[in-house]
Amino acid sequence: MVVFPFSAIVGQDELKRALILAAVEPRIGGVLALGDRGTGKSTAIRALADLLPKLPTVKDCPFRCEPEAPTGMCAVCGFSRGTNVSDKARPQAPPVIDLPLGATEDRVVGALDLERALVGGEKRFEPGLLALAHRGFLYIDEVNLLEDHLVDVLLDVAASGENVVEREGLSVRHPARFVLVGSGNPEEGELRPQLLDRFGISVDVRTPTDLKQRMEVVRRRDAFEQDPEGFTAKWKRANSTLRRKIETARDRIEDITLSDAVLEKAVQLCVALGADGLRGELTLMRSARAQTAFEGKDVVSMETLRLVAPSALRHRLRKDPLDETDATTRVERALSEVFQE
Amino acid sequence: MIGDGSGAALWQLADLASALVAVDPNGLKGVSVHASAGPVRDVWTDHFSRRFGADAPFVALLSGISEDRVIGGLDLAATLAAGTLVSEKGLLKQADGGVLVARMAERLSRSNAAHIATAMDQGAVQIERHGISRRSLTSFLLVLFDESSDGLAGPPALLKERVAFHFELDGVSIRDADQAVVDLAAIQQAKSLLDKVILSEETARTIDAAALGVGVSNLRALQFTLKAARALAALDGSAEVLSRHAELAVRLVLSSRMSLPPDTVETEASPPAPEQQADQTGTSQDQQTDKPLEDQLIDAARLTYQLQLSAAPTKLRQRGLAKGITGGRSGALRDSRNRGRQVGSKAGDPRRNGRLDLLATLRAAAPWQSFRGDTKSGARLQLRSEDFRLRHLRMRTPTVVIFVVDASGSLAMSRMAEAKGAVELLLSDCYTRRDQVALIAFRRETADLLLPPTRSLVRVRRSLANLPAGGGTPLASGMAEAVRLAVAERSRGRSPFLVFLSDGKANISLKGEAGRDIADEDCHLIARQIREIGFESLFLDTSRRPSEKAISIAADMGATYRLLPFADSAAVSAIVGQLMPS
Repeated sequence: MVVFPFSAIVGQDELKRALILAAVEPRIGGVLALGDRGTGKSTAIRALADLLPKLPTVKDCPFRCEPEAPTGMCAVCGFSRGTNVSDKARPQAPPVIDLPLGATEDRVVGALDLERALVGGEKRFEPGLLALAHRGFLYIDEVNLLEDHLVDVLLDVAASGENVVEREGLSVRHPARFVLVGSGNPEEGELRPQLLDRFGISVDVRTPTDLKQRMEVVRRRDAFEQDPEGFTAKWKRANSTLRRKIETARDRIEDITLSDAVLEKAVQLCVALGADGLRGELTLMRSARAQTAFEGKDVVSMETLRLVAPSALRHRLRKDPLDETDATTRVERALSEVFQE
Repeated sequence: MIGDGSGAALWQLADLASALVAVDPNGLKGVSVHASAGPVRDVWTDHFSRRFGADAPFVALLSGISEDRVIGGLDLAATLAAGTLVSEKGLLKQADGGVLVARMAERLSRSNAAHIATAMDQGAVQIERHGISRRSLTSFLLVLFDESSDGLAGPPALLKERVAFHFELDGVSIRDADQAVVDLAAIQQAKSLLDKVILSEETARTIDAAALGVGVSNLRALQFTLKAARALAALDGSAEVLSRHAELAVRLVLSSRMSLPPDTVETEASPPAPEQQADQTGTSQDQQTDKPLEDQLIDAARLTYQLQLSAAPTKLRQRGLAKGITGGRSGALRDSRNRGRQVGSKAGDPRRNGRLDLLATLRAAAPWQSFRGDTKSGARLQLRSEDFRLRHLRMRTPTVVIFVVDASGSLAMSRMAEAKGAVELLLSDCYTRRDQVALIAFRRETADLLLPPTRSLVRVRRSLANLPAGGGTPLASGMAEAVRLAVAERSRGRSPFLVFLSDGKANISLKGEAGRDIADEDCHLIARQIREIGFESLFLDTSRRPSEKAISIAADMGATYRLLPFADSAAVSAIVGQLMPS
C-alpha cells in the first residue's frame, strides 16, 4: 500500500517536528498527537516509516537485535553472538507497527504458535506486536480507546524495555524497546494519567483556518488519491533529503553542547509550570538537543529551547481546577514569563 | 407534487445525495440517514442500491455485533476440523467493492466504529487477533441509518464525519418519496464525465470561505463539498463547476454540519420551493443575484439548515446545544462471570457457572499433546481438566448521576431550568450506556427528590414540568438527601456520581434552623461523610467569583470543583459527562 509522503504534508509543523525529533532521538519517549478530527494525524504518523534511517541489525534474529548491544538479553541471538559481530550485522529499516484497536493480548505480547502446536505438537513462541516493534515505532490510533489490560502491558514493557511472556507452558523474554506513538480525539475519552506520562512529547493538533493552507491540503490530497504512485515519486527526493538529515542528526546528537544558562532556563520553566517530576526536564533537554542536531547546529540556543518546550511540557502541567484555560495557552503564558518577553 | 413542500424538498435532497454518491463513490464515501425503518427508507435504499449496481455486495452490520465478526478472525470450527489455523472474513472485508449498511448506527459500539473508520482511512483491515495476523485490502461505501429518536445522540461522530452527506428522512411522507430525481442513464454519463470536470481555484476558495463562514472548519467536510460540487457539475453535463453547483454542494454537505444554535440562523429566509431544487439538478441557468457568491453559499447553507430544523426540531436543537459533548465515560468496572467484555482468560472449571474460552483451552492443551499419547478412540486432541480456561469478563456498572440543585434565592428559577436541560442532555447521552439520572432540589427548609433515578426523557419532562424555587438555602439537607439516595443506589449495583449546583452559601441547618455558621458546620460534616463513603462527586460553583465556602466544602467532600457562573445546561452536561467515574 502506498502511504502519503511525509514531506508533502502541509502545515502541522508541530506534529511534524515532534515526529522528526522522535526519529532523531528515540529516547525522548514517544509522541502523542491529540486533536481535531480530519487533521491528518494518522497520515503524518504512518508517513514517518519512510523517513527512518536503517539500523545495523543482527542477521536472522527475529527480534532485530542491535549488534553492539550487550549480549544475553535476547534468547535467540544473545548467546550465539561471537566476538566478530560485524559479519552478522545487516542494515534494516526500523519497523513502524500498527497496534490496531481490538488486538488481543496474545497477539500483542506473543503466544504459543497454535498452528504448530496443534499440527506437530511443537512448542514454539510466536512473537507478538511488541517484538515486531523492537527498535522501531509502535503506533496506536485512537489510543484513548485502548483496552485497559493492554495499557497495563504497554506500560510495563515501556518501563522495563523487555517483554516477559509466561504463558501456556512458555517462558520467553526478549528485548522490546520502541517509540510509542499515539493519536486520538480527546472528545472520545481521556487517557489514563500513567499512559499520558509515558509519552515524551505531546502535540495539540488543530484544524488549519488559513484559506491558502486549506486549499493546498485538499489539492495535494486529491492529487495523491488520483495517482498515489506518481504523487509519491514526485516527493521521493524531498523525503530522502529529510531522511539523510535525520541520519546526520542522529550521529551528531551526542556532541551537542548545552550551556548552564539554557539548563537553568529549562528548570525554571518546569518549576513555573509545575511540570512535576524529572521526566519533564529530561524530555525538554533531549528534545532541545535533538532539534539542535537536526538544525545542524552544535550548541543549544534559547530559541530552540523555547521552540520545543510546548510539546515537551504541555501534558505535564499541574492540574488546576480553577483554571479553565487550555494547556497550550498556559504553556505559552509561562514561556513568555520565563523568557521575559 | 403532493406533500407539504418541506417533506418533498428533503426527499429531493436525500435522493440527490444518493445519486451523487453513485457518481463518485470513492470521493464521497457514503451517507448518514436519520430515518426510522419504514417505507420511505425502503424506497430510498431501493433507489440507492439500483444506482450502485446489482452485483455489489450489500452487507448489513447490526449494532450489537461482536468485534470478531466485524474485522474477522479465527474460524474456530474450521480450525478444529482442519487442524490448521483458518481465518474468517469479517464484515469489513465482505463489504469490499460494495456497501456496508449500519442499521441502528447510533448504537454502534465505539470500538466497532473505530474499526470501520480505520478501514475506511487505510483501505484495509488489519487483524491481530487470536494468533492471526493479516492485512487485507477493502474499500466500501458506508450507509449509516440513524434510528435515534428526537434528542438522543446519533451515530458515532468519527463515522459521521467520514461520510459526505447527512440528511433527514423522518419528515418525509411516503407520498413525497415516489420519484427518483436522477435516472440511471444520467448517473452513468456523469461517471464518465467526472474526471474531466474543472473546479476553478477561485470557486474552491469561495466554497472554503463559506465553510469557515458557517463555522465548519473540518477539512474532510471541505473535501466532501468540493467533490460534491464536481459530481453535481458532472450530473449537469457541465465541464466546469458553476456557482449553482457550488451552492447545492454547500447545501448538501455543510448545512448538516453547522453547529450554530438556531437563533443565530437568519430567519428571514423561507424554505425553498421544491421546484427550485429540482431545477438545480436539471438545466436551469445560473442564479442571477447581486450578492457575492460566498454570501450566497452561506445563505444556502443556512436555508437548508433551517429546512432540516423544521423537519426535526428537537433533534437539531439538541445537537446544537450538545456540541462538543461526545459522552462521558462509563461506570465503574467490575468483574463478572458471565456478563461483560472479555479481558483475558484464567484456569477454571466450566461446569461452575463460567464461560469456556475454547481457544485459550486449546492453547493450554496443545503443548502436552505429545506426552499424552494416542488413545484408542483416535481422538485428535486430548483435553485434561487442568486445560480448561474460562473467559475472564468484566462489565461496566451503570452510573447514576445525582444532581443536587440549589433552588433557593433569586436566580433559582434559571438555575433549575438549566439543571433540567442538563439532565435531558445527559440522558440523551447516557441512553446507550444504560446510565441513569436523578435530581434533588433544596430550598426553604428541606430537600426534595424531584426526579428519582431514571433514564426516561419523558419522565424527566413530566416530573420537572413545575420547578419550585425561592427561599433559604438548606445545602446540608440537600447533601444528606443525596447521600441517602447514593447509598441506596450503590446497594442496587450502580455507581452513584454526585453533582452539586450551588454557590455553597448555606443558611439553613440540617434541622431546618436559620443561621449561617451552623448551616456551614452541617455541610462540612456531611461533606466529610461523603468522602469517607467514597462517593465520586463534582461541585459546580454557580457564584460569579470562586466562593470560598464552596471550595472548602468541595475539598472536604473530595469533590472536583469547577466554577460555572453562568451554568447553562450544555456546559453542565459536558463537564459531568467528562468527569463521570470510569
